[in-house]
Amino acid sequence: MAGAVRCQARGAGLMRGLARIASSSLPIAAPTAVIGGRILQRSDFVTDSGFIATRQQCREMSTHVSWDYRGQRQMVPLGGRVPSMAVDAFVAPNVVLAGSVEVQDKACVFYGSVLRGDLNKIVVGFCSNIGDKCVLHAAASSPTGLSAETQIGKYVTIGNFSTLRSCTIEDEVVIGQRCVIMEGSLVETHAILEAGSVVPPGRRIPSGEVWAGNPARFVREVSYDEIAAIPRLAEGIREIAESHMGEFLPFSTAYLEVEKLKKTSALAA
Amino acid sequence: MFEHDFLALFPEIFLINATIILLIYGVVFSTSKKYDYPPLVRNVGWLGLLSVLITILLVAVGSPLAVANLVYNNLIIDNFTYFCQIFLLLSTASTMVMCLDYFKQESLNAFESIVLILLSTCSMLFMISAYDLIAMYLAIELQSLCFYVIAASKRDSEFSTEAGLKYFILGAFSSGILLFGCSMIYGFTGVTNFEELAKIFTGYEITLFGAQSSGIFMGILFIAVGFLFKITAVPFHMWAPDVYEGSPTIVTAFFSIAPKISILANMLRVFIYSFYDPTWQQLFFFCSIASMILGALAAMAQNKVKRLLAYSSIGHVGYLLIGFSCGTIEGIQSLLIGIFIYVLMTVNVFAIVLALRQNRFKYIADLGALAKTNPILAITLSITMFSYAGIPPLAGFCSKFYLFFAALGCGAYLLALIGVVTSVISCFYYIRFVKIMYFDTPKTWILYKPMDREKSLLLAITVFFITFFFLYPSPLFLVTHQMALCLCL
Repeated sequence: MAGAVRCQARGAGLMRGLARIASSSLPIAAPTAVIGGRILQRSDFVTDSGFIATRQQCREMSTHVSWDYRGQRQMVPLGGRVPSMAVDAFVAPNVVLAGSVEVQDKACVFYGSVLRGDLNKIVVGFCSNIGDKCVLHAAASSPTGLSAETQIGKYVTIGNFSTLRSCTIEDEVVIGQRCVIMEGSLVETHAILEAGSVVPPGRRIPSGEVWAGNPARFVREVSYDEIAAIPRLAEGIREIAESHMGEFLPFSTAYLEVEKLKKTSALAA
Repeated sequence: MFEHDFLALFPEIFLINATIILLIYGVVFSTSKKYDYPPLVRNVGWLGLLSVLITILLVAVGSPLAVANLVYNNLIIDNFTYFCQIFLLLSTASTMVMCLDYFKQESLNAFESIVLILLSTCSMLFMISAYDLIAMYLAIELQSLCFYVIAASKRDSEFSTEAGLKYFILGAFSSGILLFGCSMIYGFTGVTNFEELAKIFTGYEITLFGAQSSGIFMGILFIAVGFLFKITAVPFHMWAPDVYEGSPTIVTAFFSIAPKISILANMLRVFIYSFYDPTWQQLFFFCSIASMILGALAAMAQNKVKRLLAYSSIGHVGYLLIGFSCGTIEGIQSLLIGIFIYVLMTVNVFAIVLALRQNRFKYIADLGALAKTNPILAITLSITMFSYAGIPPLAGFCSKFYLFFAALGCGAYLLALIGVVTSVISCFYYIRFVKIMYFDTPKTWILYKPMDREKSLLLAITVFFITFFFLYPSPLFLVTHQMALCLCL
């Protein structure tokens, strides 16, 4: 094909609706769309002429790079905004830090998370940890008067599969797995969110309370022992992360493999 | 005529040439459009460090077997100057190591500070080996002029400008006093050379003489006051906290490390060798007591780190002057041990202060969570503070112990008593650092950027020395004993 393959679905109206639901100010690629009576799968691509191709066909016929030998970059600077990572922070290799993201000392971001600070800043505080497959994003502006930055304080534990958007998490908070925290919400010190909680936009979770449910509701007060255990939990996870850190060298040796590939001319120079 | 002197002065000649070459290099390339006006601080810094190290090598190679008088008896080389010069150059080298990262962090594009540090180092080398009142005064002035400029080197900071101006006015005033003292001495004796002066003052009891001696007395008094100004001893210390606080931190580090060595070495030469006489001892006795007391009490009220270190250095000058006021060989030896250990501890403290200077590390309370965020640095700072305070197995304890021991040995019981009491009082604020780091729960946590490799090496070396000095102190004792003997015999 002479023309470049557009790897975006064309259902513009539907997409706008989705974007409104997702309350994002940017157009986003919808996972599925309907064109010509056919439901597109995530792996399908639409060419300029409306031809619908599967990923495999697309790969075969296009000049578009469908396989990048470099994999996904861990740090993606956007404009002048460069992600920063403290030397003793653990950021797993398949995490994506994009834009203005600051991972402070001793913080850990586990496998598969995405921290996308393209519109606003994301700060992961001292000794906090973010579980596997979490998504942290920051909106351009916040509906409440609060700052639209995503700020995570010290000794915060965020469970796997959570989604955080433009919220402020204060120090020593535990957030369970699969939590969704919407923009402008504030989780105060020593609060605990149980697994699967959904915090609607602009909600404040007061200090020292346990909340759960969708939408999140008050459950009980946090006990004194739990307050003492929160930083210990974060430190324990940090210790686990240190064992992960021991498995990585400052520079990867992947370039050696790439050079081998280049010698066999499997890759175009 | 001079041909033998050139060989003996080779380190100084090398250092001056290196300074000039670095100055030319810096000026030419930092104003070159071709290289896009590069900031050359780091390059000049590394080259300056290299030239200081080569100078150390040159001084060390020219090990003196005997006393040599140079340049018509204006300069002298003996064991005392030899070790003092090596020590001074080592401390300059450590300052240079500290400043490598500093200028970049501060985004201060001023390579001339490094050139000035080199130039003042050179003048301090001359100061250590000065053997004549005029040579001494010229060396002091060259050093002071460099210092005035680097104190005010941060032009966009009001504090730095104020510090530079204050330092300039008070420094010029003290130099005037010193010069007046020199002229009185010259007027009443007709000589300026230390050896000639020593011959005149041998067995000279100033207070027993009549009208003629009062001039000499005034001369010695003025020279002593000028020197006490320069080492920030107490009645003449007013400028020190402001200048230390206002100057850029690297300059503060340099001020509190290098000139202490050179001025005390020069004072020893003047007062122990030339004016050997008990009259001036009372003055130093008083200053010593006053410095120790003020250093201990005023530092308690400080919340800013650099001011606290300034008062602490005033207190340490007080302890060093104990050794000076004894006037015995043990006193001089303990003074030299004291300077050596004081300088090492100060290098350590300032390396830490410079390492923590993200967000302008200004207040002691900013140390807050250091024990959590950077435990090794917290331990390092604690060890140094304990050593400053004089807690037993550390090097600071050894230095204070020998100073008090010398004071007791020469019968200055009051000095030893006040020294012990003030060092107990000063424990309060030294250990406050430890309390803040380990036991307080701070409201705001400050996370500091990791320090560079050069500073961490410097810290590791000095902390190792401070901690394990007591296991093998004999080399330092032998060297300082040799220096003291060389001065007195």
